[in-house]
Amino acid sequence: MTKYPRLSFVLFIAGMLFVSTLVSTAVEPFPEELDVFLDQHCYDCHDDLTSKGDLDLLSLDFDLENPQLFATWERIFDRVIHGEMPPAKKERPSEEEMQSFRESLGSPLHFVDAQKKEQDGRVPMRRLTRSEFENTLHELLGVHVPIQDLLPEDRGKHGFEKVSSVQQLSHVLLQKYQGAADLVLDEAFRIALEGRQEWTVNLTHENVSLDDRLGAFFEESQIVSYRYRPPISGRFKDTEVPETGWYRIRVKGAKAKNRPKGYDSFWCSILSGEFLFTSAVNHWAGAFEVGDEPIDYVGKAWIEKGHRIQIIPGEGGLPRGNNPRFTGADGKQNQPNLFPVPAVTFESLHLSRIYPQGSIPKIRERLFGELEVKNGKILSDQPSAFVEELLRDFARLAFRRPVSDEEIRPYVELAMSKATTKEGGRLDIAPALKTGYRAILWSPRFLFLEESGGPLDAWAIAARMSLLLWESNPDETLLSAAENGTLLTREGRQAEANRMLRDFRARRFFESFTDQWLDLKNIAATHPDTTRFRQYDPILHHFIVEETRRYVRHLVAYNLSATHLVDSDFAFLNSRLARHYRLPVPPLATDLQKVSLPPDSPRGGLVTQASILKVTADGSNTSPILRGVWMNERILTSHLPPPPPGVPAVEPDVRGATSLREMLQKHRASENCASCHIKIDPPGYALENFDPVGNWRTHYPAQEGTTPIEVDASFITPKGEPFADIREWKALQTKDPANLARSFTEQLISHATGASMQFSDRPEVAAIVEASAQDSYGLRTLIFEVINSDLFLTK
Amino acid sequence: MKNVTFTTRKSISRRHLLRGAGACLALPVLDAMTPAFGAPPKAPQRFFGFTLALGLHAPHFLPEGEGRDYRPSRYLEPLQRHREDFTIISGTSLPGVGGGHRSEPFILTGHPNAGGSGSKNSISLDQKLAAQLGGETRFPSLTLSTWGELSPSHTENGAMIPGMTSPEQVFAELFLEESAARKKQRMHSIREGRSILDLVTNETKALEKRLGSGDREKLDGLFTSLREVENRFVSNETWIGKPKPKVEMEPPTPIKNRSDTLAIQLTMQQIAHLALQTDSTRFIVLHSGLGSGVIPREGIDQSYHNLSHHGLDEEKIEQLTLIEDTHMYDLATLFDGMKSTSEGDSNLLDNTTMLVTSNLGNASSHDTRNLPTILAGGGFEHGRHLAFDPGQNYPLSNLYLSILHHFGLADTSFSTSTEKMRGL
Repeated sequence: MTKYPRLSFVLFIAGMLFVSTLVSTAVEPFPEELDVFLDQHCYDCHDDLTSKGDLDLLSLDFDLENPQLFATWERIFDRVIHGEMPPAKKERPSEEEMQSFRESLGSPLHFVDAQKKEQDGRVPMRRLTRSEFENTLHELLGVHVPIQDLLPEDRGKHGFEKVSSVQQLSHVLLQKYQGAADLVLDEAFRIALEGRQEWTVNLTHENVSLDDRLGAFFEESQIVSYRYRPPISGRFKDTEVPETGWYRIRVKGAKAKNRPKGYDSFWCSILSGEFLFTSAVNHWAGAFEVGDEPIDYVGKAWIEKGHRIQIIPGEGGLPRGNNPRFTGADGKQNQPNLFPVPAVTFESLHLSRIYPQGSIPKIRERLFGELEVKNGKILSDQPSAFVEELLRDFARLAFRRPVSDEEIRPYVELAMSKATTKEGGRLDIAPALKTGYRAILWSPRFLFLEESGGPLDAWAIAARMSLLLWESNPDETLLSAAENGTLLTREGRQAEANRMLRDFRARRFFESFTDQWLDLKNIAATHPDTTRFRQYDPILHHFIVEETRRYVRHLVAYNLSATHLVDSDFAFLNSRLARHYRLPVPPLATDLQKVSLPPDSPRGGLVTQASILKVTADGSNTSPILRGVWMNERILTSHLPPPPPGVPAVEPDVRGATSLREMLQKHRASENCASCHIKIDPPGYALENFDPVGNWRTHYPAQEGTTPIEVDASFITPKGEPFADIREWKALQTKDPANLARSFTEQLISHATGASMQFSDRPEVAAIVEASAQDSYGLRTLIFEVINSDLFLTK
Repeated sequence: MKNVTFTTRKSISRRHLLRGAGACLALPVLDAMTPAFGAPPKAPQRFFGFTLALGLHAPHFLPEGEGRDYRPSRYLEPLQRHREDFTIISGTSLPGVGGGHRSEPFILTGHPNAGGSGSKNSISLDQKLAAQLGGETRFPSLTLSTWGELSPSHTENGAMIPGMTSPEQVFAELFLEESAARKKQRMHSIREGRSILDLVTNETKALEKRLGSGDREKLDGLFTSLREVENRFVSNETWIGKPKPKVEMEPPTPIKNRSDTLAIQLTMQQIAHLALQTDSTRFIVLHSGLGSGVIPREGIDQSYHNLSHHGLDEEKIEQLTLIEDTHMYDLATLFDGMKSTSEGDSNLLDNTTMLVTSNLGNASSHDTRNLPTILAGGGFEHGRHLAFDPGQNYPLSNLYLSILHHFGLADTSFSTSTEKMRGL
């Protein structure tokens, strides 16, 4: 067994700075002081005779090189440090004893982990995630072809897809990445050599097809689309697109017609799909809000060949009428509508094919430099010189670092073997370039981050920064900052990070990080029960996620405190969200607006946003256990061990909502279960006032013939503080901003470095949190501190 | 690869592979009983796993009584005409595998997942068999899924093999001949791909020299994957030149409503049957995924996943039962077809070890114990209900070991197995 030098171990949990003074005084394999502590406080219950919770400390090996044993000792350390063990009914260890425990167990744990890190690095060779791969390909080649759905999903660790240790690799995956790269490359070359297709359609009341029994109407030189049954009404036959691609959608002069009472305005959805009875899957293409004043809408959407668009008043709460042109399967004429059916009217609908990423000259410049394209060929009298130069420039951007003559040679040789067509003595180098680029995009130097041991070089720092803040490779400016050494200084990194956060590409950080951190990528895993949640429509589904991303972006932009994770006096809303939350409806606007919340509103902060409440529920039921686990893991950063084997799961029973609370009470009565449920249940219950789509409820839905049961969201935190409802729970959490800052930091570290938190990372995290205290634990400060930490700057 | 067409949002159609195949939709009808080529003298042993992400409602699945005298449950009723061709296995689970839906990737690997928090996985039963025995067919194995790419098939280093979800595409790859031009183009792409692979392998070797000990495992995985890709290229080069088997079945019409997982599943079963029959592959997994759409069937108005969380609501159980009845009815039809496909003096079912199982014993409560399991065909002794202890479950991985041995593999264990399945 290894001998561990003793080191002074300062209480880092409390946020003090860790001082690493490695004094090489050898200690016994099993620290004597630890033995004394365990003897005094633990062996009674955890020995070979009793071994409560299946833990027998007497025979537990102190072999910290063994990852399983390390994890067990780490957990023992945490439970004692957090005061969960010894249990409340036993005598508390004195402060002196705690100190001795902290050192005698904490030091060897830290030492072993730190040593392993020094040897191997924290992050084994990380692969680009499929989102990073897609963004980078688009930027390298100047074309925008969505390929994510062709690549295997990155399942990630605790949701974080960049965590290298769980990234998958197989021949299947490699082939798919190769195929996706080929596809984008083909598209880029096709556009660069052959040009691209234009397509456009402009519909007004004069040319819109009215022969379609489920299509549009027109009245008074306006196109009109009613909210009709069957729901595929309102499709525009003439918008069927000839090719899959990006399209710009413009709607001119849109107004609401037949606004129901209580709606000053309402939302219209734009969906794409076939809109046949046999096709149920439609795709989001946009939404706009209409009132009495005409508005124009412009948006873009990816539309599949043969699909068309539908525009209708899409809000779930609006009444639907019968389409008078449509007769049901029974052949009976539809009943006339007894109320004015809500509709949207507009002057014109314009659809045109667009190519968002780059213009043809731009794509040509990327691929061929200054060489000219003639008849789909690129003829050159100095073929290998040009090929070498172009490939080397491309490889530098793709590999995120400069490439030497020797390194580029095999690519050039392979490429040149494809240049065989001659014209007037000059070689066509287009096929050569394509093969060369193909090889670069298949290279492990593109697919994997190249980080050699110890402190990262400036190129690797640039790569980490751009993959974090842009989800793609560094741009020329960032590469220059790497080249001239700016990135090796704190100020240089800060300046670049500031520039990058202001760039449009930073939006990807807010999407990627927010979705992975808060599990929003699973937002569509279940669909709310359509009979109970009729108001849940595609517009709401879209905006609840946007709300959360927008909120996080705001917290970072204004460097607001980590307390905003649980509470705030504002929210980002539009009328659709405000109606869902039953809050005052803000005036008509295209973007989400910052709105002050009423003082007693339960809606401030992240945790009571509809996206979170939906993703932590299934389509029909809520579970305080699922929500409690989510809160612990995502907001309070307490990673809970899985339930021990053999524990029967609590069978959900919608027939009596109280029984769950009773069942859980019984569950908690068992000491074994209590140790986790003491943490899980309080935040879980605090959210009981929210139904599966995030509506506030005071009662559970009643079954037929029963009286509804009142919601009881009260509970007691693990520290013993009682709370009556979510408002009081939030107030308790915001008293401890350092804890929330630590949670945010730990989540960000997984995302930023590609490895989740390890034991010996703790002092550094404590230092990051401490450094942000002077900025009231602002999230932007935390991001900068993470980027400037050794965790980020070392392999 | 020009003029790529797209069939799903944000994704590029894999159907571009079929370009040029559109002309041969009307296939000459041949005797489906005779594979068009390469009929082996002795019928090979096949494996067909049918895995369910949402289990089967236990009160409708579990038979009464055990051994040969069991009384069929509602779900087992349609299978009774093949009573002597299958065994029901109850009271088993995969030791150390838990965590509700997070256990889904572990159905056929049995790799302990620390209650759902562990993400590592190991090789699955089907891939283990294919790795040893899959080299003789055009496709070493097939992984099919009705919804989403998540599948129970995993490679040696535990990476998931995504399920193919489009029956049209699977059918085309198996049975539709490509145009000569398309073949030529593919051949060209493969040859160029092989020379790029050589270059990329050299790059990886150079990388290995620059990187440290912490990256070794990743690099090993990369080398293995590169070699495997190379093997696929080599094998594809050989198979491109050989004609594909011709079958009676018409190419399936695209199922436009992707929520219709029951229709996809039935078509996939038919294709799987033909794939085994024509010896295009010997190892198939069909995974019934966690469908989050509403299956367009009369009487169903909520998604399959939602219905599985019935919370004992009678109406939901009724709708769920409609779906699960269809699973069982279609399974019986598959048995009919395989049984009537004769191979020498035996039949396809007898030469195919069929395993039906799930990661959930009770989807409503996410319970991963008491997994509903059926073993059929393959020449095992059948007609029984092997009932293990519902309180103290018996390792299902023992069945996986038994299956490996049945195929002549000499492994002494498979994931958490402790012995070959008792009483089988």
